[in-house]
Amino acid sequence: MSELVRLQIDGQEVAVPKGVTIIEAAARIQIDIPHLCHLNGLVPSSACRLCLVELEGTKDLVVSCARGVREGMVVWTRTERVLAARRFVLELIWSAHPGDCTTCEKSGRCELQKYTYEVGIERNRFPLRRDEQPIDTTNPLIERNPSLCILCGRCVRICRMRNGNNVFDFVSRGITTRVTTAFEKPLQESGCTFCGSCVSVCPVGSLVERQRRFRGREWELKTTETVCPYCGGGCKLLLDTTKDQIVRARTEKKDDYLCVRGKFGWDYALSKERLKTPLIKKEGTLEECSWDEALSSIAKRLAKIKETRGPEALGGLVSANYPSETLYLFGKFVRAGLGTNNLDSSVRLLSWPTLSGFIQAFGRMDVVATLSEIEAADTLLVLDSEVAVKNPMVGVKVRKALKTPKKGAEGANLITIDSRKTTVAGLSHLHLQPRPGTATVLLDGMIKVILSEGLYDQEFVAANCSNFQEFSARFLEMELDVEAITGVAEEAVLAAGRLYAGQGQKAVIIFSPETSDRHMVARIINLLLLTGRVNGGVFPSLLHSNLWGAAEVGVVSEFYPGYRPVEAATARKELENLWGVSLPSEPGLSAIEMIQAAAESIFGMYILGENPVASFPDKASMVRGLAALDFLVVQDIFLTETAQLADVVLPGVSFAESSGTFTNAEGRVQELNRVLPSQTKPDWEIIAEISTRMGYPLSYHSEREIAAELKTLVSEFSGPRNSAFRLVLTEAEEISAEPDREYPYRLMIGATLFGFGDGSWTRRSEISRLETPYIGMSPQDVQSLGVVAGTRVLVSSRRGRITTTIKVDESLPAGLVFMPAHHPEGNSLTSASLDPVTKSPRFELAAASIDRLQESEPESQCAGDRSLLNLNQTSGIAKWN
Amino acid sequence: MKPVGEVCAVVNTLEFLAKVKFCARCWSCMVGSAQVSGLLRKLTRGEGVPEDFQLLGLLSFGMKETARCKGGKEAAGVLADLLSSEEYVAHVENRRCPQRSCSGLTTYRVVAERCAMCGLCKQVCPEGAVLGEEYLPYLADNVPYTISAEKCTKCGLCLPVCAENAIELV
Ligand code: SF4
Ligand code: SF4
Ligand code: SF4
Ligand code: SF4
Ligand code: SF4
Ligand code: FES
Repeated sequence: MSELVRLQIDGQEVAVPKGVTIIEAAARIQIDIPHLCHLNGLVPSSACRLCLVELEGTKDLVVSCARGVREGMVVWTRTERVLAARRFVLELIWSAHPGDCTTCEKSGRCELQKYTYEVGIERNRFPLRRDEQPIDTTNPLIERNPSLCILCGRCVRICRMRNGNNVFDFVSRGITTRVTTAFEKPLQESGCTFCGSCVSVCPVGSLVERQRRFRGREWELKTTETVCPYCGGGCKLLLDTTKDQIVRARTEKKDDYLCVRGKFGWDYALSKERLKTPLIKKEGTLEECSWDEALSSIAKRLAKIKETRGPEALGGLVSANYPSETLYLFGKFVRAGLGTNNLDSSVRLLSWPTLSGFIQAFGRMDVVATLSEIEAADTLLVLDSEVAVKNPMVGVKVRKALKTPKKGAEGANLITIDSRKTTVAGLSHLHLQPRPGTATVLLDGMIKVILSEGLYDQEFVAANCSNFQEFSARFLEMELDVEAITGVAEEAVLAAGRLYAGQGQKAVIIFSPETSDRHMVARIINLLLLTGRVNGGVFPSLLHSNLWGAAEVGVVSEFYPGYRPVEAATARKELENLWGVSLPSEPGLSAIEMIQAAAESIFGMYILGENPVASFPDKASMVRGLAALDFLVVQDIFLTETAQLADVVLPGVSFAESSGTFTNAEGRVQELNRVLPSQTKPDWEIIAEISTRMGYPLSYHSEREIAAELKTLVSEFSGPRNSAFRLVLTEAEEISAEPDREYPYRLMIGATLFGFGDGSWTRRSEISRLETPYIGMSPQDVQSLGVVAGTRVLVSSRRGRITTTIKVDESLPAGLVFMPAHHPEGNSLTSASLDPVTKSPRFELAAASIDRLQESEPESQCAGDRSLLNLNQTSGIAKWN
Repeated sequence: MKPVGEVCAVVNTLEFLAKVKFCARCWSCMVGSAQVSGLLRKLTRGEGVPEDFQLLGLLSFGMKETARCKGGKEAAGVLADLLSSEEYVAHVENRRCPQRSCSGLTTYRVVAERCAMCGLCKQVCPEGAVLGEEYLPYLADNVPYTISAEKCTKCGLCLPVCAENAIELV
């Protein structure tokens, strides 16, 4: 705690830390000094002059939002003089304000309205008005009404601070001053990421969410706190609703952050395309049917397969976007009800090498850093990860870490290892750009530096890593020409190794589990062990909202809840006792294996919320497999590509209609609360009912009951910490196909800001209008191919071909092309080769060729291509990478 | 009557406001100074109402208290000086501009004693505001020259053409 300063405000004594402003000090003793341009967390701008107060010993009134406290200050906030000045400022602001409160969305929450009313300004007495300006509706998410702007500059400052963007600025002078974009361009062409922060901080109705226009007044709204379903960041989301509608998403404090998906992406839950009734396939087409017909048909047909072919002919697959309670119940249903360990989830594809690797290496997951630990770190090592796009919240924390003073430094050191020039790479002190697919070798290079220069934490290693000597000897023997393989200069690797290993420094590695295979994870673990950072030393930026939870509650084939191995007899006994059945002892198949085994050993599948046709690699083989099943049930909220292949489709609920918990990427368990009444039945109820009909009763009354049962099995961060750690030596395999004459490019598929998962949610949200399906290419490649942004092209790999549109992406190096993971057809190009240990698809960069589309060539079906903006307009959002 | 040409304090203040360097980042300057100019211009046009004079008082107080930059406070000072000057009082209370620089508070008049009845002013007047006829000897009912206050726009074109200096501003 820094030293306290004592002062007097309106006769009250207050002691506050040094560096605090008068307005903040006053707030601590519940004295609210009116203010418009000031907002906690933003640099003061002293623009509005509303917060003036009288300070004894000073002739002029002082700006309380900018003046720091001093010992012995005597401040008066409500003297005649102050009140007169305040009234003057408000009257002046009001003189230039249209004051159309009747239809203004901010009415009721507007700060100008509040103060004007408080001061009692009846009408505008001044003669001059500002010219009315047209309302800007050129983007789908944020409506700007410049006539209402009071020039407080909060939007300018928050955008700059948070995104490093200069989307808005002041132009012109005097009464014609405006806050606007450069050259009055639409937001999407001004580098805006649509985080909506500016909307949240705007004190008036100048910036509002378009989604809410005329759908509910402030005082009619009910607020429910829940969690954003869109990434492992797990931001707290306050949803404001009228009876059956979400009107707006917001944060608790005005200056808290949400990204575009959290702020604007909830509208898919209200989509007209939501499934409302069960569907059953009759003569090849899906028809609406009653719940009873659907459920009894499912129970009957699954039971029949179980009877004739054995329980191991069935399989269950679930998406990690459901609350842990639903996931747990699904796992229990599959293992105990259906009687098979063929149970898996999207965890397998998106984070299994990481989560299983960590639990094996450390025993406990507290090796993972919290978001505030990222902010406080001395050094950040960001690996192959466009965090600012995947977990935008983490991107904000990284930016904050750079500005948070550390001992002996103004901010954190940032090292980025990425072949792309990502946003984070642009902020880095050290950016190593290995050839695509060679980051693992680069990490080996860093490990070598740490070993050969003796930079490891000798005490920790001696005490905890039993095989250090052996590891070190073997590692140093290994031939390793990092520069030749990765193309990164030796000095840069040296510098990175030294910077990262810095003794006594807190360092956090941030990486992407969905692109990190077993070998990459092994190297990360080695780095953590060598530097003794086994407590909060790493942050896996998890793509989906409940990947951590899904692994923890045991919806992966080899683990029961709480990472109890299925093979372990003791664990099985424990679960058999709790669940009251005998459980199969043979291990189950993983997600992709199940579909690959369709019609050979798997004949019936129950898929909850997952969409393998779109989001699993090698689309063609997924379609083949799922179509070959005797019976397929899909439970989802939309008729996804996978649901279209189903025999029975059950309508589930969206996050807004669900309760339960999500565990985010820091391992924090957070409550998801029901915001809207269910449009159909809660997912867990559907599962319970089917199980009951199949003779294994699951009778719960609420998610809470399930949660209570789950609590007996899963503890925070799982298990005790391992007593000794082992450094792992694995030989990374180069699996990505080398580009050749026929397929000269390497194709990377990854996340973008405006899409999510299989795209089935975002495609039905307004946010998708900001991004059309595309393939990103470096400026060099675009030039040598002779195409321009917007050219239609045919992308082919050894697996398949699709058509899409070129976008110039300056973050890419030549030879690497990028496609959003939610591109509806993207997985036609990828292959599903599995790692033998983790059974996850190996992350590979497919070799691809790109050709200008000839007129005669038929376009492939692009289900997601429903953009309303043409490409020229969207190309301005090229900032995400 | 003061000589024509030198401007009055109100116009002076307007000119000062147009030149003063504001930081232009607070409402006092951005809108306050514009409101001051607006009100003063209204006054020069002769359209001032008592409430405007109150507002000017408020602006002078408010800008001094709240302006962020030196320019703003200076402008507030100049305005305060104006408001306490005799000239300003003349403008407000007598609805007269002693310097005759405020068109709205000035009337053009032909001084009959000096008028030679040459009719040159009538010829130049673009508004047809000059009434009267050229003097014809032995005609008893000739019409002397006068200026219609309704029509006159106070453009001043008639002043230089009159050799007798017979047109005056009051
Ligand atoms: S911004 Fe505030 S004061 Fe202005 S119209 Fe809207 S509610 Fe009324
Ligand atoms: S939405 Fe976010 S990125 Fe866009 S202008 Fe506002 S604060 Fe800046
Ligand atoms: S748009 Fe809103 S936040 Fe931005 S300057 Fe205007 S009033 Fe302030
Ligand atoms: S950062 Fe992640 S959790 Fe936060 S709002 Fe964005 S998508 Fe949602
Ligand atoms: S001032 Fe102009 S309008 Fe008036 S009488 Fe003279 S010439 Fe005519
Ligand atoms: S709040 Fe202090 S000047 Fe605006």
